[in-house]
Amino acid sequence: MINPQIEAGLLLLVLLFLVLGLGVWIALALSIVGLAGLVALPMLIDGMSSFPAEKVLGTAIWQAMASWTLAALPLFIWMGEILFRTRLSEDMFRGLAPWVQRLPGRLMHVNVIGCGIFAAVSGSSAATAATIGKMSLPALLARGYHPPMAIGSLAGAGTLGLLIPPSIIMIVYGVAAEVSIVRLFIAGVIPGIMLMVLFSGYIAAWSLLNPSRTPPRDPPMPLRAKLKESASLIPVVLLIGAVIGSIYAGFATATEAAVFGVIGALILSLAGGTMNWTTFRESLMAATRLSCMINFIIAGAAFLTQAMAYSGIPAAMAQWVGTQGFSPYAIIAVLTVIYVILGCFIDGISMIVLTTSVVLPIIGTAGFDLIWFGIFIVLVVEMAQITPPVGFNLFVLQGLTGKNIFTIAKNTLPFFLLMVTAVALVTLFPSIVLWLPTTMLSR
Amino acid sequence: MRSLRRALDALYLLGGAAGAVALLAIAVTIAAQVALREMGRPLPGADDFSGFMVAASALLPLAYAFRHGAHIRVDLILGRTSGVPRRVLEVVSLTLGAAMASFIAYSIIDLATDSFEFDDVAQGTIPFKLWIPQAGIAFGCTLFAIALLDDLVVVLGGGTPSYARHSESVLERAGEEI
Repeated sequence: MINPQIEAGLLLLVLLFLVLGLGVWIALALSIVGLAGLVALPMLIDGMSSFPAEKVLGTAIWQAMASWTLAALPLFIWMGEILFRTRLSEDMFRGLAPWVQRLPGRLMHVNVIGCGIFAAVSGSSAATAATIGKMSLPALLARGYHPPMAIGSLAGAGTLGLLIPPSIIMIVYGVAAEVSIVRLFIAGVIPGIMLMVLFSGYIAAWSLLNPSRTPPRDPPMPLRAKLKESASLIPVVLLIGAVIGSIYAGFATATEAAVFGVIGALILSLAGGTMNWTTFRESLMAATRLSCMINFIIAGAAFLTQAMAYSGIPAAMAQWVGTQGFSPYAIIAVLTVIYVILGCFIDGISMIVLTTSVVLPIIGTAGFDLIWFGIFIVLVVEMAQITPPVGFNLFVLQGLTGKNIFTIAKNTLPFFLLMVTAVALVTLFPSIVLWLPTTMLSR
Repeated sequence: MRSLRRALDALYLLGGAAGAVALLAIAVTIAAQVALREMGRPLPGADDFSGFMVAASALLPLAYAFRHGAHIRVDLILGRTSGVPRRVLEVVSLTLGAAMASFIAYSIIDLATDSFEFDDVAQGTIPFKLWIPQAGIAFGCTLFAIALLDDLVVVLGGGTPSYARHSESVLERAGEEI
C-alpha cells in the first residue's frame, strides 16, 4: 500500500527528530540524516543505486558554499551588525514618538513602525524585538500604557524582521530553493506593509474601544522640533530606501545592493561617531560567526537535499500527494499547521532548509508559485517565532519584562491571529505577493 | 598540556580571523567589480573569486564560531536536564557531531585532492586552480572536527564545554543574533 520510498522517508524523519532532540548541532544533524539516507537507503529500496558518500558530500558542500549569490548573506548580516552598534535604538523611539501622537493607540504604534524600519536593517526578528523593545517598552509602561497591548504589539511586530527586505531568511530560501532573491525581496514588501497595517489597525481599534486604557498624548510639538527629533532616523530610512530601491529598479543584484548597504552603514556609523576600531572589529567578527552558522546549515541542508533527490523520496511524496486530489487550499492549511507545530521545536532557518529538501517538489506539483511559497513560508515562520514553548521573540520579551512566557504568549495571541489572517489573505489573493515583482524594471 | 591548549586556541582564532578577512574580501571584490563596471571595464575572475571567499568565510571560522556557541541546536530536552543526564547528552551529541564533522573534513580533503590530481580549474574568465580554495576550506573543516573532539575530551574529563561558557542570557544572544 505505502510505497517503500515514503516508508523510508518517514524513517529518516524519525531519525532527524531523534538526532535533533539529542541536541546535535542542526547543520551536523542534517548531514547525519543525509549520510544515513545515502548509505542505508540503497539497502532498503530495490533498484536504488548507491553513491560514494564522500564524493556526494564534498561536491554538495563546495557547490553550495562557493556561490556568488550567497555573498548577499554575510554582507547583509554585516550591515545589520554595524547599524546595531550605532545609536539606532535610542533614536528610534525619540524620532518616531512625535509623529504617532494623533493616532488612536498613540505611542504603541512606535512598536510597529520602529520594528518595520529596524526589520529592514537587521533581518532577524529576535534582534528587532530586542532592539526596539529595549527603548520602547520601558517608555510605554512608564507612561501608563496597557501592558498586555504594549508587550503583544512588540512581540508581533518584532517578527517583521523576517518579511521586510533585506531579509536573511529569504536569502536562505532563495539559495536553497533556487529562486531569485531579488524577486523574493520585492515580493515581501507588500505583505510586510499589509502586516504593519493589520497590526496598527488592531492597535487603533482596540484603543478606540478602550479609551480609558490609553494614556493622554504628550504635549504637542511644533513641526520643526519634530523634524529635529527624527533627524537621526532620516539617513537610516534613506539607506534602506536606497538598498531596496536599487534592487527594485534593477540597478543592482541582491549581492551588489548588500555591498552598498555595508558601505552606507559604515558611513552612517562614522558620521554618527560610533565607529572606531573596536566596533569595526566586533561587527565584523559577529557577522563572521553568525553567517558561518547560517551558511553551515545551508551546506548541511544542501547535502541532505542531494541525498534525498537520489533516494527519490520527495518525488514519490509529490506523486502521492498529486494522486490524492487534495485541493491546494487544503495543502496550504495542513502545511501551516505542520509548520507552526514544527516551529515549537526548531528554528526558522532549519524549517526553511528542511522544506526545500522535502516539501518543494510537492509544492511544484500542486501548482504553487515558488516565490509565493517563499513568502508564505516566511509568514508561517514568523508565526512560529511567537508560539510557545519555543518562540524566540517570546524569550526576548521574557528577558525584557521578566514575565512568564505563557503570559507573554497570551498577550501576543491577538497578533498571532492577525498573522493567520495575513496568511489567509495571501493564499486567497496571491497577487498581494506576486504583483509587485511583475512591475520590476529588469536590467 | 598547557601549550597544546594554547596552540589549539590560537588555531581556532586563526580560523575565525581568516573567515573575517574573507568576508571583508567579498565586500571589497564586489565593490571593486561594481566600480570598474561603471567605468566600463570588467574585473576578471571577480565572480569566481567572491564565490571562493564566501566558501572561505563560511567554513574557515567553523571551529571559532562553535567555541563561541554560535552554532544552534535544539535545546528542548538539553535545556531541561542537568547533572549526569545532561553530561551524557553532551557526550552523545559531541560524539555524533565529531564523527560527522570528521567525515565532512575527509570528504573536503578528498575533493581537494581530486581537484589537484585532475588539475580542475574554475570556469570563469580566470582559470583559478580549484584545489587552492578547496584546501583552505578543508583546513577549516578539519579544525572544526578537532574542536568537537577537543570538547568531547573536555566533557569526558568532567569539564565544561567551550560553547557552554559562552552561552549568555537570551537577550544578549538576541543582540548578537541580529
